[in-house]
Amino acid sequence: MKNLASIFGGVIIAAVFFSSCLKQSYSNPPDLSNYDPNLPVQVNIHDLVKPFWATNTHRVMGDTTITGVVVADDRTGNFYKQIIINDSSAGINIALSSSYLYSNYPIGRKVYVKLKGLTIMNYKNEVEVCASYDPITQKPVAIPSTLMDSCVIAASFPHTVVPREIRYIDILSYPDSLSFLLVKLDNMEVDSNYLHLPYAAPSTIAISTPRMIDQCINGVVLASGSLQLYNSGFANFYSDSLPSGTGSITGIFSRYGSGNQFQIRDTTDVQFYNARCK
Amino acid sequence: MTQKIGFKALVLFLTGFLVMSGRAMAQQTAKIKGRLVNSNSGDPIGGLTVFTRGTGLHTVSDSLGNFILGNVPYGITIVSINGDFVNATDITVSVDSPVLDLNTIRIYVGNVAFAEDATGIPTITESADGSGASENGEGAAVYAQGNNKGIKDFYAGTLTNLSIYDNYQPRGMRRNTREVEINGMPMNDAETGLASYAQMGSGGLGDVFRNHHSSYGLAPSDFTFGGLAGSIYYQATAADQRAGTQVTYTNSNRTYRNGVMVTENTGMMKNGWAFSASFSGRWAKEGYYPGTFYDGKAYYLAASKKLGKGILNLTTFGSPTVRGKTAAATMEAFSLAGTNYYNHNWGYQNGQIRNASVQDVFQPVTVINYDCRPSDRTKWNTALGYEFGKDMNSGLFSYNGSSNVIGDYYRNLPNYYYTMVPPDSIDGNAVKAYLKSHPQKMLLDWNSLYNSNYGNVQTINNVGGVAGKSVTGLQSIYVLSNRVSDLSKFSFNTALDHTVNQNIEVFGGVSYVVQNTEFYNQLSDLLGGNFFVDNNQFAPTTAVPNPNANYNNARDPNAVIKVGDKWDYDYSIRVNTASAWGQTKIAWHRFNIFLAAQVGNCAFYRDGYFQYGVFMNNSYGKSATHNFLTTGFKGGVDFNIDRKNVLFLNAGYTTTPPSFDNTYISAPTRDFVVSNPTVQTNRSLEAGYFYNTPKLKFGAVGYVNDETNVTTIQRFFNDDPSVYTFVNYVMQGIGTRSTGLEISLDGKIVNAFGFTASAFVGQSFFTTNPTSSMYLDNDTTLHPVPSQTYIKNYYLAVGPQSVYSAGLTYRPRKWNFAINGHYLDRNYVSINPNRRTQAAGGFYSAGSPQWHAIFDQEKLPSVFTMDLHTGYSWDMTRAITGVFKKVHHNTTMNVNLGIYNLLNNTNIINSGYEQLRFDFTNYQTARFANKYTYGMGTNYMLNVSFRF
Repeated sequence: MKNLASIFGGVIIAAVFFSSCLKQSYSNPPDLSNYDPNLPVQVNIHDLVKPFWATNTHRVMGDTTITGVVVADDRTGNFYKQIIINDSSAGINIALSSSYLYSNYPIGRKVYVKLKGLTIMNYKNEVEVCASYDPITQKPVAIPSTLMDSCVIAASFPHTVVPREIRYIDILSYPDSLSFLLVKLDNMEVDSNYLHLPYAAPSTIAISTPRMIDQCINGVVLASGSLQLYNSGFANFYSDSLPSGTGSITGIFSRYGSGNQFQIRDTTDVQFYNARCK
Repeated sequence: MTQKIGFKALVLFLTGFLVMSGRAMAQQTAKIKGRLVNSNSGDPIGGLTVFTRGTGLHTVSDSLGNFILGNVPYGITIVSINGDFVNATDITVSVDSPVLDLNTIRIYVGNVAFAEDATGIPTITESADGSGASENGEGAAVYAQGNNKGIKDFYAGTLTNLSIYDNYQPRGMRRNTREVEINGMPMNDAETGLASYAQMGSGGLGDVFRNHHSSYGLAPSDFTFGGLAGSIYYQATAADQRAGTQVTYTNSNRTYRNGVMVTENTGMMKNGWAFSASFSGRWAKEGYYPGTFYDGKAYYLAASKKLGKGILNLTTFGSPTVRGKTAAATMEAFSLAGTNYYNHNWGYQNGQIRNASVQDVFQPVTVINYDCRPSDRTKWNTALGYEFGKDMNSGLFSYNGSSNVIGDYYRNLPNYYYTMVPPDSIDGNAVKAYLKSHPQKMLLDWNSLYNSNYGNVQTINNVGGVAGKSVTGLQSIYVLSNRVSDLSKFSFNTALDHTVNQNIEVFGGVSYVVQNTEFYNQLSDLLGGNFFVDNNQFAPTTAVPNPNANYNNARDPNAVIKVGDKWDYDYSIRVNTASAWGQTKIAWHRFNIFLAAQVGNCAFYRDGYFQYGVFMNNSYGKSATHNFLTTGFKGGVDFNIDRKNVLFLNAGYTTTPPSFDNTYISAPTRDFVVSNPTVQTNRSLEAGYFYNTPKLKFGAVGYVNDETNVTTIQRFFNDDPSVYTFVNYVMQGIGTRSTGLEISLDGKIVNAFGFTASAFVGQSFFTTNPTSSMYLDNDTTLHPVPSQTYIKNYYLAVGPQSVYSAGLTYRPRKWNFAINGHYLDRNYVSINPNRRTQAAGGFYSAGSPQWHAIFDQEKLPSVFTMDLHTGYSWDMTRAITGVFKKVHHNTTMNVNLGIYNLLNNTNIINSGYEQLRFDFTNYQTARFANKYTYGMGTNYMLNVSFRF
């Protein structure tokens, strides 16, 4: 009977022992999403990129830091391995060798870019920050994912991102200063040859699909007012149909070679709700 | 009288012609019985193994110390008694009458500490990386129990020490081919076939799971037909536990640091009751491997009551365990991290270590069994068992499916740049230099994961498919979630063992198992966010556009997921198995013959609870049922040349059902099965010779096991932009062969000195070139074009296929020392079959160095290790009697210390595998390099126990 008593005693002790919680608990890390390291900034984006306009050149940078707010990320997949940052002066493309950049650098995130050791290059009229210039392919090499957060420093969030409202004529007049800026064009519509098509062909057919959009003023399509809207086959909206109305479109304007191109971030950038020109 | 006839009829039914044929034979065997008691106290000792040398006959003493050994051939025989905490005792007897009663045999208790080590579960069964804890070490431990041909002692000292090899499979036999029963309840999972050692507390219940008997390979068992790798029966009722109290403290530097186990048993009391309870706790804030922790508790409660001609037992046990896991890595990652114990699963959160890959398992077992002795010649055990509970394995999941936050994700490492064509060494070098100077980048950055979630304000529209219902808040990009398997298993099993006469013993049984396992992903931590969204991020790029393709569950589209919610997938598998078996053992002149047969049926189906958007019509609800009829036959003969020399030969033919996982192409997403699912066929042959004297034991066994018609399905994630989904790699028509030789030598040199030596050399390899098909989770193609693999003659990854060991033992009174050295070689990495296809050869000509790099199988470096075991046993009764006035029982203290890998070799690669992804663009094997795990350096386990 003594043994039996011990068993009951043991059960009680064990119950206490079992309920003692060894399980580890963790407190949430501090929310640094609004933290700004306030790094010293030496130059604005306009002054940084201006020397590269219209010259096919590249340069390894010294100890310079710029700052800007992310205006386009890769959330929908229409941008891939790049983010676009703007300050009040201009915009620039940053080539990063990583997917899902939006988890670190979502639209509205202020960032500092430490340019030391990185390269700025004009690649076919796209001025961008990259890791290096590849002399063999003569292309920019994106910043390796591992090095990303040591040179692109995330700062405060969120900042309201407001596109610069421009006229179609502006992109013809100042294509370089408008490059990689988030802009809004009004009175645009999908060219009649592309009506009812999806935004892009699937990625298995084409990485990127051009769709022409036209300017429409007072019910008249301007012959010289068209622009190529480039959409990625990897974008999650690739199979959605292009809207048939007229209205505003927001996105990133850039040059590629001698042509102009326009990229939206999501379909909400396309507000074609008014009646078409024709 | 009528009852007796009915009973006999049953026996005849089960064994059929075997009995008929047996009757004709000469009657030249006897029963030996006796009673084992403690030489000091006179208390009975249960749970000791009693066997006769060289015959394969064995039994276990019951709680009253009684044993009966049947079928012993006439003549001079050595009866051996062995067990934990006792001195092995040999008694030479002359058998010349039908029943030989040895009466009371006094056993000296408490000297052979080594026995605890060789058979004792606690010290040897941790796998190196902790991940396969249970299965691995167990393989070695059970193997150490040996076959019942008398050779088991030979194996004991050797294979127990291979615990650094978590993938070691003796004879190349898969772990799920060994049948495990506890008190008659079949423990093997009806789906996977695995009997997890974790179910028995991973050693935390070592006190109560000591009594067991096992058979190895084709050798006959007394309670089941047995699997290819044999069987093991744990006799763990309250009545089987020796009266007394035992307290054990364990200290180790392995997966846990400290352990305490307390066991209290009443033994069989005069009122016919017996009770037993055992509890243990083992823990480590950090185990040997960085970032791992261990929190294991275990309990066992049992009651027995004498009832009629038997004992009715109720036994329940379980072991809630939570532990942090490790992961394999490439050589590059080990080198960058500067340690062979690099583990990408963990990182710091606010300065505190946190592991993302945690197993949390609790699957308690309850068995009711009635162990009946209708006569002294008949044992009949019937068990009803129930097991339930969850096995949860956590992981980090991202909304977009990315793994780029993992430290050694291949695109984050320099090799990604070095293996570009042409190589980008500038960036490769920059990344390398950066990682070398920022080692924390190889770990998880929890703070960064939280901050990604803190900044992701999103609005989800049409939540649950309800128009206009929207939710706005922090949508987690990264979450922790548990892959859960939730088990519920009922089993019924009855087995009979009847001694017909001195020559013939017949066995038979019936078992039925109904199992339901639900698999789902259950969110466990939002990591600072407010909710998660259950959408299929992989569908858009590959599926034919379909309005539901984005939904993992179209019945709940855009589901907003909170902690505790199921997401991703949710389905059950329901398995029913039924089987009946019969066996007879016949002693005839110098021969011991056995014949056994089994017939069974396995049926399973899938029941989906989610309607997967890509496969709307094949994911929700019950699938068709798949039925498999299986049979098994085996038999063998021992020829006792004389009492020292034995020859044996066993052969077997069995068919086994394919597992559910190897039948359903992608169970999480749909109910498609492979074409013509079929049973697999196994043919086995083993033969050997044993020489047995008290001074020298020698054994040599050869074996060959062939398996044909095997189907396997390997599932992996391919993040190539052109695929970007889970790939299910189906291979059909696989054949394998395992053949080899096992040689063992065990002898006494002088007095207390002894030696052991053994060699296990085998070859386990593929014997066919099966076809393979790739099914993508988001691809609705019904029949992808199969391709031909060329894997014939490649090795299976079953651990070292050459194992040589030698050891010295020294066992003076109260002390015990053993030192062993092992040389292990021919350990091969697991191959990626897709690399042995015409497509993988690319543009390289056969025989070129690049071709060899793709097609050759890597052999891991050979290893030499040494282990030391020491034990001390002290009968404290006299010493403490002076201190405490009244001492109930004898009190013994045992100290055991095992030190493994004495040379502190931290470069032992214990397993490796080829990644299932292959660079089909540039055919560079280095792009997705092999991954490895390293065994522990010097590690130890110290046990101090008191028994009173």
